[in-house]
This record gives sequence, structure tokens and C-alpha cells, in this order.
Amino acid sequence: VFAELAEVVAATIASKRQLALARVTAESFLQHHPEVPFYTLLADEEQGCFNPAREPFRTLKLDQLRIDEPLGFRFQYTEMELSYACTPFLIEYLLEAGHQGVVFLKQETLVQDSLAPVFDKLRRHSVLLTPHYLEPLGGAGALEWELKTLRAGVFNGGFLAFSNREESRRLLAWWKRKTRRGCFRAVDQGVHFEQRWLDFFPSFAPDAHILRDPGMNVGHWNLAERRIRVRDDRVTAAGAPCRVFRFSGYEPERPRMVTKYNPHLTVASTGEAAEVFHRYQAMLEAAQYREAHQWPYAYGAYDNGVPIKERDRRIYHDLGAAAARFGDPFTTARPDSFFRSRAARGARPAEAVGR
Amino acid sequence: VTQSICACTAIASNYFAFARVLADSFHRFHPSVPLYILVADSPAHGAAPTGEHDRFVTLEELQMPRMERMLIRYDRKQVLTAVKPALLRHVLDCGYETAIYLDADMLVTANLDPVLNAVAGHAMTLTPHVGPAFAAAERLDLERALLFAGMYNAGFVGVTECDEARRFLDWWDRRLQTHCVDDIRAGLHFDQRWLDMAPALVGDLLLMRDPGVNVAYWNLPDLNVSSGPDGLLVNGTPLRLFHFSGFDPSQSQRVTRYVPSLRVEELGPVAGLFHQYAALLQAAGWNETRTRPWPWDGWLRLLRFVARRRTPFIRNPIDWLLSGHD
Repeated sequence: VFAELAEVVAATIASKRQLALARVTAESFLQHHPEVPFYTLLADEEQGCFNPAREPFRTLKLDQLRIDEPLGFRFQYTEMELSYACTPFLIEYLLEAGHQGVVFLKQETLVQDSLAPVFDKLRRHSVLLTPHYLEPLGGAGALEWELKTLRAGVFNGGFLAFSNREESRRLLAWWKRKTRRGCFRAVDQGVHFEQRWLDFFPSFAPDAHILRDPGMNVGHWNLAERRIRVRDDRVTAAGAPCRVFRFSGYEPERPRMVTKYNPHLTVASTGEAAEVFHRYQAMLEAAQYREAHQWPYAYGAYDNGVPIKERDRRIYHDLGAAAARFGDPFTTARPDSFFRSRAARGARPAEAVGR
Repeated sequence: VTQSICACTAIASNYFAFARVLADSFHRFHPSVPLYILVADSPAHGAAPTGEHDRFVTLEELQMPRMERMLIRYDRKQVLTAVKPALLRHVLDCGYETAIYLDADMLVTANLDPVLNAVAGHAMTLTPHVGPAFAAAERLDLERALLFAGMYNAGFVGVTECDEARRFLDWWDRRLQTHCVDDIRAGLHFDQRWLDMAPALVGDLLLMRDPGVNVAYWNLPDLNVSSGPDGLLVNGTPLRLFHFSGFDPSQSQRVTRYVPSLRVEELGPVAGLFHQYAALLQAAGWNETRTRPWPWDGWLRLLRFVARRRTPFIRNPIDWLLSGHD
């Protein structure tokens, strides 16, 4: 896989359903940095749906990461939770391979300008973080959005960069322990997927750096704060090159809405940013979004085809070490399988049991 | 250290002994640096000023437009935490270039010049509750508590006059006037959770990592405390500022009310400091002053208690009354 050992690499994570998004992210990144390898971790299985050799990115498989009890790890999380939880494992894997820096982009990203300033900063810092906001919000909804940010995490998990330093490795070792079992949205535990844990990073890492470039990690949460201008190929945010634009919660099926997380924000209301959304929509179409979005999720069902309920994933997770007695939680044949034990308790996992 | 620096703290008059001990310990090392003491319920319940360099501040001087509503809606602890940004702004308005806020339950144990110099070089300075050593320690109870309570301890806040510091103080003040509450599900813990936003909102933010500053029960297990010729050493550097967070002089064998099982004797070399501190508080009149009542309690206390219940049927109308319909 590592034919040449690049100094810096970029990476994202996607399930098959999200593969078209990863294609767009990779292609937009490679357009500005053709020399930098771009990796996509498939948080899923190929199942013959696509040919990794023909993708714009280099595909990594879950089995390549060092995760103990990998089947339980995949079972306990939903599709989205699993892809988030893999983040520190993926970054550590790439650093262990010998790269000096890893730029992580969540799969719904468009790179619109050079990331050279990021690579430059990465040489001098252990980790680069982007806050959701750079100044106090104005307007009527400000308080509400600030409270959401306090619950979800001050830094956005959609853009991160780690250099290969002892401090970064220590951060990743800690973060891995957290997302190994604690990558949920659980407000009453102060947890929000992989992202809330980032709030600890400035405390743990004296060499962490907070990027204050308004062109980095522009998304629905800060669109109002950063005026977008589009002049042909050049997109700016608050006057700076808009390097990384994020489409968090954007659903191509509903192209008039900016994000599913804010039902009041329409694309038409975002001024010139609307053009960015139109372009992104077209790129997704060209990347076969419709086809890819139909592909199945390999960890979505038991081996008898019965869909796994989110509640059952949570029950399995909460069993902790006791879950080991079930062995592979996806299998259903053995009488002592997790599936049978759930069914025996009268909690029939979806539809009919068995085939 | 520049002449244009001051410290400040905020108490109600029942905490008068704490402020007295803090002020005396501070002035022992910095006799010429003024310490402003906001006594929220003075002068009606008059705390007697004694120290030569103490300056007393009243709530009225902070000129907070919503103060009356806050006094109705908030209890004593909420009021005392909510006034921090306004107090810091007030001392900057007095003309000081740099100001540090210290919780009243702190004790200065060595010269703070390195701290004051560092604070003077940045728009804002905060102390993280924990440092790199914590990540390896896996103290999960505290980790969970920090997710709820915030990453930075609000017992120490340093600011230096500039637009960025002013902008943060104005914003923090605005939020605390209505949202200085302890509500985990909302993502709030008094004034402190709001500080988690500081790394985002303040570019020139210093996270002070001097292990001898703002030492308290939460970071003691990660620190190596030893006795030196001039006092305690923390990881080999002088212990400068100890934070007796949650310490109750009336139960002086318990380290903090937040970890009821933790006994002072378990703290090794720090135990002696707790004994000294308890004695200082007694000498400063803790027993005589601790029962001074908060003037905005009484029936309002009952109303606040009811308003905090989670039933919207009860909470909403009372909230509406208490909030002055804003």
C-alpha cells in the first residue's frame, strides 16, 4: 500500500452508501494536491459493489486497523457512529506507517483551495483544531447555537490534522480509548460522538494549535459568520480563501436545504454560498451518488438478514465485557447467540426471526 | 511586574473569612498590588474592611442592567459566579492594564510574579483543570465530571486590556446574566462551562500550565508534591496558588464537599497546608461570620426551588415571572 512514503497524507472514512461523498472529497483534494496520497477507510465491506482499483482514493479496510474485538466494535455502533469512532484508529494507523502528518477530512467535504498553510502549521504543532466559531455569535438564535456547541463540542471533528510526534500519539491513544466504547450522542453523559472528546485536547497538548483561518472548515454552523464570495473558481469566506467547505447534514435528495440539522436554513438564503451547494450537488451526481447510496451496509443486519435495531446495538454495548460470551454478535445460528438471547427475552429483533 | 495590575475576588459576607485569608496571603507577597473584593451583600451586611490594600466593591458599582432580576432569579452561589466578567470589566475600567480574578477559597503560597507577567502578556489566561498527565491516568470519575463542569477552572481568570478580552468579557457577562445555571442536559455549569468556548473566541489565549498554579483536589493526584526549604514544591516548582475548592472549615477533615470520601490525611505533604488554612480561617472569624444571611433568600428561595423542578407546567410560568418576560 505504501509504495512511496509520502511525508503528509490525507484521509477520510466512509461506508459504501457514502462512497460518492468520499470520491468528491478525494477528487477535490487531489486537484489541489495531486502529489499527496488520499486514503479512504471503508467502515463497511466491499461486497463486490465497487472496484477499489478504480477509485480516486486508496482504500483501507477496517481489518487493517488494530481494534480489539473488532466484531463487537462494529456491532455496538450504528453506521454513522462506527465511521466516527474509527477516526483516531485511522489517523494512528497512518502515522504508524511512517507518515509525518495526517490531514483528516470528514467525508462530506469540498477542498476548494490549497492546504499548504495547513501542512506548514503541521510541521510545528502536534494537532490542528478548528473551532465551530471564531467570535461570539450575533442574532436571535445565537444563544441556542452556543448551547448546542457546548453540548456537541467546541471544536469541529470534520477537519483535523495530526503530526507524528509523541504528544500527538499520546492524544490519539487516549482518544482511541474514548471512541472504542464512547462514540454516542449522550447529552446526559456529556458525550457527543467522537467530537466532544476534542474539548480535552488543548488541556492535554501544549503543542496543539487552533486554526483561526476563516476559510477553514466552513459549514452550516458558521455560514452566517463568514460571508461567502464566489468568483469563478475562487471561493472566499470572510475575505480569506475558502479552503475547506463542509456539507455536514446536507442531503442531496433535498438540495434546497443546507443541512438536516437546521430546518430553517435554505440554500437560497445563504447568498453566494448557494453556488457552492449547486456545484457540490453536481459533483455528487457525477460521482454516482444515486447508485452508491443504494448499496447495503455490511453491518446493518444479522447473518440471517434481519436488520439490527439501534436499541439492540446499545444493549450489546452496555453489556461491556459480558458481551464476549456471545462470540460473533452478527451470527444467529447458535442457540447462545446474541440474536437468540434477545429473541428469547421477547424483544424480537425486527420483523420475523429466522428465514 | 507593571504597576498597572490588580487582583479581584467576589464573596458574600458569609465568606468574609475566606476573602480575608486570601487577601492577607496575597499581600504578603504583593503588598503593593491592590486586591478588589466584591462583597455582593454589602454594605447592608457590612463586612469590615481591614487590609490596607483592600478595595471593596459593591454590586451597584458593577452597573449591571439586569442585576435586580439576577438577584431574584439566582441564589447566592449563582450571583457570585455570574458577576465575574462584570467585576473584571469594572477593574479594567478603573484603569488597570491587567487583572486576575481569584476565587476567594484560594491561598497564595509563593510569589506570583511569573504568573502576573504571563497574564500581562496575553489577552486572556485560563488554567486547565488537568494536563497531559491526566490523559494517561484514566481517572474516569473526574473525566466525566469535567465533561459536565468544563475544561478550565473558573477560579482563576486573567485578562489584559484589549479588544479581544473586552469582547469576551462582554459576551460572557451577557450569557451569565440569564444562563448561570447548573444544568448538565443544557450543557451548562454556572459560569464555568462557558469558558470552554474561550479557545474558540479568544485568539490570544494563554492556557497556563505552571503546575504550581491553581492546584486543587482535581489535579493533585497527577502532581508530585514535596516539601522544599521555602514551602511546598509541585513537580519541583514552587506551589504558588492553592485552590481549596469545596473545603468547609466546619468539616476540616474533609478535602472537598465534591468528593465526600476524600480525607485531608490522605493528601500527604498537602495535609499540613489544609490544617494551616483551617486555622487561618478560624482566626479570620469564620465562626462569627459564616452564618450571615443572604438578603435575597427567604420566600424567593422557595420560588427558585420550585422553578428548578423539571415540570414545564410549573417551571414555565415561574420562569416567565422571574425572568422579567425577556
